[in-house]
Amino acid sequence: MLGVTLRKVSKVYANGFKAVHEIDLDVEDGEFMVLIGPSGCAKSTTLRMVAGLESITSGEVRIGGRIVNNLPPYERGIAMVFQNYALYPHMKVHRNLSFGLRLKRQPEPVVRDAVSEVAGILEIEELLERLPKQLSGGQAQRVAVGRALIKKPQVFLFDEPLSNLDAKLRASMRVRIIELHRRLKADGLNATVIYVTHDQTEAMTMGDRICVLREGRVMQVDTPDRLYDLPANAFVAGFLGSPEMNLRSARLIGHDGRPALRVGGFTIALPDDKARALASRPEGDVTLGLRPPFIDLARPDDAGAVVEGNIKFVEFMGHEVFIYFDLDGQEYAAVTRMEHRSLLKSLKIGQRARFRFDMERAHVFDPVTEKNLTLV
Amino acid sequence: MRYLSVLASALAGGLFATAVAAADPIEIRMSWWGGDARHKQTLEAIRAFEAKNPGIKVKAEYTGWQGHLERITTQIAGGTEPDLMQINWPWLPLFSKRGDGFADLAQFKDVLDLGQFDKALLQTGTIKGKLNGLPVSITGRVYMFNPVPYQKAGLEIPKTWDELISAGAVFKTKLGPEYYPLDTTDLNPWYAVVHYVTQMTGKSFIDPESDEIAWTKDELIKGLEFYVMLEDKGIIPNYQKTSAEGGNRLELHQKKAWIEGRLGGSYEWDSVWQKFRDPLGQNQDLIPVKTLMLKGAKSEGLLRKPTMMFSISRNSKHKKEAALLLNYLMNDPEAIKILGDSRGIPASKVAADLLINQGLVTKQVAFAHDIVMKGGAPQLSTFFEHPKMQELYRSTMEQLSYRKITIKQAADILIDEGGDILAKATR
Amino acid sequence: MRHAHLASLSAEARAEMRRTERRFLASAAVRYAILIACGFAMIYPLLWLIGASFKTNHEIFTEIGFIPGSPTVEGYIEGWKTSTEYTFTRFFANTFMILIPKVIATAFSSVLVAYGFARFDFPGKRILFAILIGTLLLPNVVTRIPQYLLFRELGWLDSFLPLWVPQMFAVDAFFVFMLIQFLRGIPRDMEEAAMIDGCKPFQVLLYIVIPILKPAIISVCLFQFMWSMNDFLGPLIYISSVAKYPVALALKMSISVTESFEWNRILSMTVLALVPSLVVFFLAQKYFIEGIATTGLKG
Repeated sequence: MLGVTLRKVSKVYANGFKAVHEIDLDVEDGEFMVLIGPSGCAKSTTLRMVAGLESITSGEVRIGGRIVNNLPPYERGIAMVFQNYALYPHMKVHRNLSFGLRLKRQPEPVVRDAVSEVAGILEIEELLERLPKQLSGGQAQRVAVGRALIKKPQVFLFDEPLSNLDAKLRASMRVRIIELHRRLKADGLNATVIYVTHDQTEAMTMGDRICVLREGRVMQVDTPDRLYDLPANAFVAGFLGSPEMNLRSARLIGHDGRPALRVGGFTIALPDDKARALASRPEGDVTLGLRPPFIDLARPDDAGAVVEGNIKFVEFMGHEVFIYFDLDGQEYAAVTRMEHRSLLKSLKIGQRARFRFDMERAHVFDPVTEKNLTLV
Repeated sequence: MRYLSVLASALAGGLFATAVAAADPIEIRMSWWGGDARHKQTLEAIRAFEAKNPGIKVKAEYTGWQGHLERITTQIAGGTEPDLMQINWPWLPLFSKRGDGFADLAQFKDVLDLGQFDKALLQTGTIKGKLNGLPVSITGRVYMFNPVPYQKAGLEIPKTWDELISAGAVFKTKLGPEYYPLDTTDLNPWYAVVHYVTQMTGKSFIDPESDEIAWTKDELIKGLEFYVMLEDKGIIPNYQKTSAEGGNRLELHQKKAWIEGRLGGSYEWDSVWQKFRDPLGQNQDLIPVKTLMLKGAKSEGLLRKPTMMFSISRNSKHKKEAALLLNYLMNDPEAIKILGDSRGIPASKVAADLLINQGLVTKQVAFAHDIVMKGGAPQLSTFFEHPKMQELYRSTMEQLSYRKITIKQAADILIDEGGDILAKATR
Repeated sequence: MRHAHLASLSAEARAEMRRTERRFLASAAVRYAILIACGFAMIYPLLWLIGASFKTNHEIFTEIGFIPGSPTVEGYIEGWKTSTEYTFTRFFANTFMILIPKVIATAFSSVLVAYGFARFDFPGKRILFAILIGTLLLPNVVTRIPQYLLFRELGWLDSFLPLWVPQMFAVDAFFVFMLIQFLRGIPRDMEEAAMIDGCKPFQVLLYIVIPILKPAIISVCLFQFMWSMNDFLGPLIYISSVAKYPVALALKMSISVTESFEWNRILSMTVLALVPSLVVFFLAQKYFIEGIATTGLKG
């Protein structure tokens, strides 16, 4: 199997700090894998261990089936794009692109063809005679990508490549990279990508799969939609998705002979599948996770999962409205659509209002282990 | 380490081999410092020596004055000093405290004619009974006057201290405040004190036998009072004046006041007459005079010393050849004529006579030298010019001239600190 | 445009503007006057030196001005001949024989050592670095005699080897320190990119680090060139044959304590001795300033 495999990979620094804890990760051939996590989660360290820029304390890294732990970077069949572009300042763009090939003593015509091919793909033909200091941020990043592309590596490594660009440029570069990946795959190339970012939009839009890291441990690896819908734990649930998921304490009780939740004085029934999943759990504290889009103002005729809270704050966002309300000392966020305009007009801060919880989309987490108890 | 020594012996072996191959003519090395004339004349004399002694080649290693002490110090520390070297008289105790730092020249009597040298003079190069250095020439301080400012003031060139002192007021009224009958450069204020006290007591500042300070505090105070009086009466410019004109250590020939004839004279080594005479040009002159005398002087109190020595390395493999070359340079009429007075008036009798008789020495220099040689001069201690002592003289006189310290304080400093320096240096 | 604008203002406002302008001009004039005066005071000794080298000996100490009354090149002609068996041609040749290998060795070894300290971790790095910096504080006098004895044992006295060989071992801690500071200001990304592109550590140094360090390396070469050009004690101690003297030694050959000497010859040769340093400095000025200015700054 080609692709990249990490088995029990750890990193301990000279000062004794353990940055990476026995990570297991399989990146399939041609897959676009995003590593994401808050700062300090060791996503860059992990990438650099794959690249060979950082030594591996224990475990093994395989690229294309080959153990690369002790191989220098240039023997691993990888290419890397850096956050600061890392172009060679004293070389013109075409030299920057061809540096790797020239080191391998490729014949001049081969080098020239490769440069013009890559320049064509990335639309940087007119920049070839410039020095890096004469490039804008976006141009420099395209050259940096080109420098990786020209080597036709088995694996592309990206280390937060877009974080130095402004928002607009970032969006267009995002699209460019995705298209490039598709095109390479269409051309039958091994375009395995490991892409490090702290930006969840990039992660959600670009990744075939996303690996969420926290303090050197893998929290969950899955496709973007499954991460969103079925987070394995409260951390992933809270980290991905905007607006952020409501994660509030609740109490698991027995009600009418089946598990239900007690939230701020209201008893909320659980759908059958979730109830089944929680059936064996004793009564006690749990964490209720519900994304704001799944809380809405209740219609007068709504019954069941309905609670009453004090409105604290209302934000009009155009096509939707954020409502923050207090439920027995805990703040929840709800998102409602503008169809409720008539209802909204009557809302006043401090007023009591009724909200409906869409419990089909709710998750219940263990308050200590943070594990999702309702995943089936 | 081992590798190093192997390498070293390999290299040494290589060197040795070449030395043997080229062993036919003996090569001796000779070093000196000096200026253009000395370099040219010495090189010429060396060539003449080689012509006479085909078996000996002389390698000349010469530099300017600056750094020569550092160079010779390092060479001696490394045992790589030249076979024959010119050594400054005050350096002698630095390199040979116990008299074994250089070869004893007395061993080479058969090739080196020491009879040409005055016994007392040879004593100055002798340490613990061993002749470490052969004095090349003798020098002494002589008063030299520029007659032009005196003529303008309507005065004769002074013959006594009283005449010089009374000239001060006349210079000021007739010529202006910028005119002085006598200059004081660098150590000259101290030499004026030394001259005065030596005339008064007949003793040298440092006793040459015991190397301890010979003057009492009271004697020194009288000398310092005399100096302050010279300043106060405008006979000599004070430090404030000289620093305003480019600094106290600026040599006479570089001083504008000297070149323009605003300074009536100076108390200088006889050997530098030419150097200070040159800038005065055609319209002025520089006349050495018999030393100024104090009423009731016990001695003429001249400051007389050997200038430089020639020493032979104790490590030399060719000491005898070096002595042969030394004898040639000092006593052979051929070399004497080539060398002239490039190292001052030679101490060797045959050389001095030859140069003076043949008029190879400027008349004034010969005259000044005559004053130095004939006048009474108590023997000097080798430590009189020790670098640390010189620094002490210099700084104390400067502080006194700026009136930062009193005369009594100056006397205390010179005697106490001077005593300490001597104690350390002779230990 | 500006006049139209002025016209639209009241007379009072216009007067005020003119006053401001006058004040600005006056202060600029004062500032320039002070700067020019200071600049002239700084360059005056050099002008005097050049002027005096064309004067006669008598004129040198009597005339304050630097323009010679009756210009003559006698000082240059006679000075070049020297009082030794050799001419200045020989001494200049010796100087370059010493200088060029010395500068190359310094640049090479300092870059290598600085790269090692700045980019690699190895056991004892901190202690070794402390020792390196410690040598900065070590007075030359302390090492002079042991070094002399070492070179005597190696049989290198009276050759250029004692002046060349130490430089091959990055003995000038100042240069190493300067390069380390410069390297610390440069992000490592470029070197990592080069490693991924296929460079081995030595190739990273050659293809990436050295080109980036170019301004700093040129500064090192310039400093070493100028300092070595003026180095007096080194050759004085190690070189005993006049035939191997560099210019710095030869210049002082004529200066004695008791003899009068030809100042104009010495000054003329001093002027010539300044020329190589000046030429090299002006050629490399752009990089030199850059090298000094960016040392220790973030890249």
